Amino acid sequence: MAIVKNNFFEDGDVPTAAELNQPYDDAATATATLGQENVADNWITIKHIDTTPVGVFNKLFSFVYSGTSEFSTNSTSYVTIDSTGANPSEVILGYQPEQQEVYRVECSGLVTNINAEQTYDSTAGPPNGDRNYYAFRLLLTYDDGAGPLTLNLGEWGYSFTTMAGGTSRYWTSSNGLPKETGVPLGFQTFQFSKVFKHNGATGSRTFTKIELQSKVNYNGNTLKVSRNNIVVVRATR
Amino acid sequence: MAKTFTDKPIHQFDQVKTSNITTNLDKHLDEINGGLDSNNLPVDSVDKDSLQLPINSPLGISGTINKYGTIMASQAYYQVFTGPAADIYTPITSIDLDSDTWSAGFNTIPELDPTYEKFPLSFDAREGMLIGCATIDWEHGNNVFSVDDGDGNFVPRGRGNDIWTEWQVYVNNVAVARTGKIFPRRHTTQIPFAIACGTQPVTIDCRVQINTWRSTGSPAVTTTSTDFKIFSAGIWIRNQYR
Repeated sequence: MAIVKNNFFEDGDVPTAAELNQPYDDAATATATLGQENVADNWITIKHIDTTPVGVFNKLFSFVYSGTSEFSTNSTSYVTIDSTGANPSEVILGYQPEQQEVYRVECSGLVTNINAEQTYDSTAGPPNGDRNYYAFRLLLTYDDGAGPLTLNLGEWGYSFTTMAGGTSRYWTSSNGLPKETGVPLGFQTFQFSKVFKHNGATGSRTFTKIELQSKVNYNGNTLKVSRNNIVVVRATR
Repeated sequence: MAKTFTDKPIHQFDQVKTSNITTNLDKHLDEINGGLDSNNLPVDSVDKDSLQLPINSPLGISGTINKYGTIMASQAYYQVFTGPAADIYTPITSIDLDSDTWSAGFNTIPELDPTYEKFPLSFDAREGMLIGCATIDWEHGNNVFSVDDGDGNFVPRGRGNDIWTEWQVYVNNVAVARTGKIFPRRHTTQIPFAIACGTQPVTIDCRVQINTWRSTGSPAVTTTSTDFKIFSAGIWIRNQYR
């Protein structure tokens, strides 16, 4: 709001009723729209922040599966992790972000007793050792008003064994044997995080959910995942 | 302010001095004109809409390196990341440890590959805390060579199982978090960190120490180290204001 002005009366002046009333009327109008110029520095305290309806600064969304059932896959394309068969690893969001606001996604889990049948193929062309890899990704589903769309938020990889992948593992005629090319690194954690920003207009997009997905690079190898979780922090102010 | 009382009280049947009217009104209006403070506002009365909308930070770049930030009323987020390639199984950079330039100490990512010269995350922080995380998808696997099993049979055996890699996060060239030794494999390593900061320029980067050796045991192949690979790397930071 604007600064409220006062009339300056000196001794001997005869103020009118309108002049006397004016500052009160102006103050009544102006106090409905108090702004930065009306308040003292450092006036706000944490108790003034209303945290009752939703987080003013941050809001938390999460998915947690803490059981021991294993999700198993040998798919070479991404599939959503679902350790129990009825509880897919996904965070339901259901909000419309404002322009420039961010959301950060953190994810972790446990890879259990994986099976690596083959981590190197000397008969195939390069890169022969990519069979040693498996990967995770976070997939956002959103809606701009014309039905659900998806966006790959990020991918991160691991290897089944200690062996170098690609073509940099120096090989001999013995390479490619399904055995003795490394013990699978089971019961290891996986983890990754990233921040994303909404550059579109406020209210133009609805974030539906974020899924945790995985795949292997060779369908003879099997990835198994038990406990896993996804945390999404929506930062608004 | 807390409360304001009338400066020049006027009593019944008094003759009003006009300058007192000015004085009394000025005292109240001064509070409205910049003197309102925490005593004037009920608790729980500030909601999201009372605070400024987030604004874009000026450090946005994209391409090989993506870098952006958002400045909000209570916090700011900044992030830099590079990779992965279109195929998650293809590294964005490979370092030949036998012929490329690298240090036995800690290497920054631009030192390993100048393509990533702009990787360090630089921004102007506000006094408070820096809470962040580095996430690097990398690999330094071991070799496989044919080895005589003692009975005259040549069988594949891993070599280099004791090589290791360590990542650290540096804020203004001070190490604030480290992973410890990570033994051979492809691994996505996440390094959380938190440190207090002033209102100051801040630069954050991650550095890697690589311990390797030239494997032996092959009768047929020249001994060599495996490549050190990076598939993606990123740092995000939350600057929570005091």
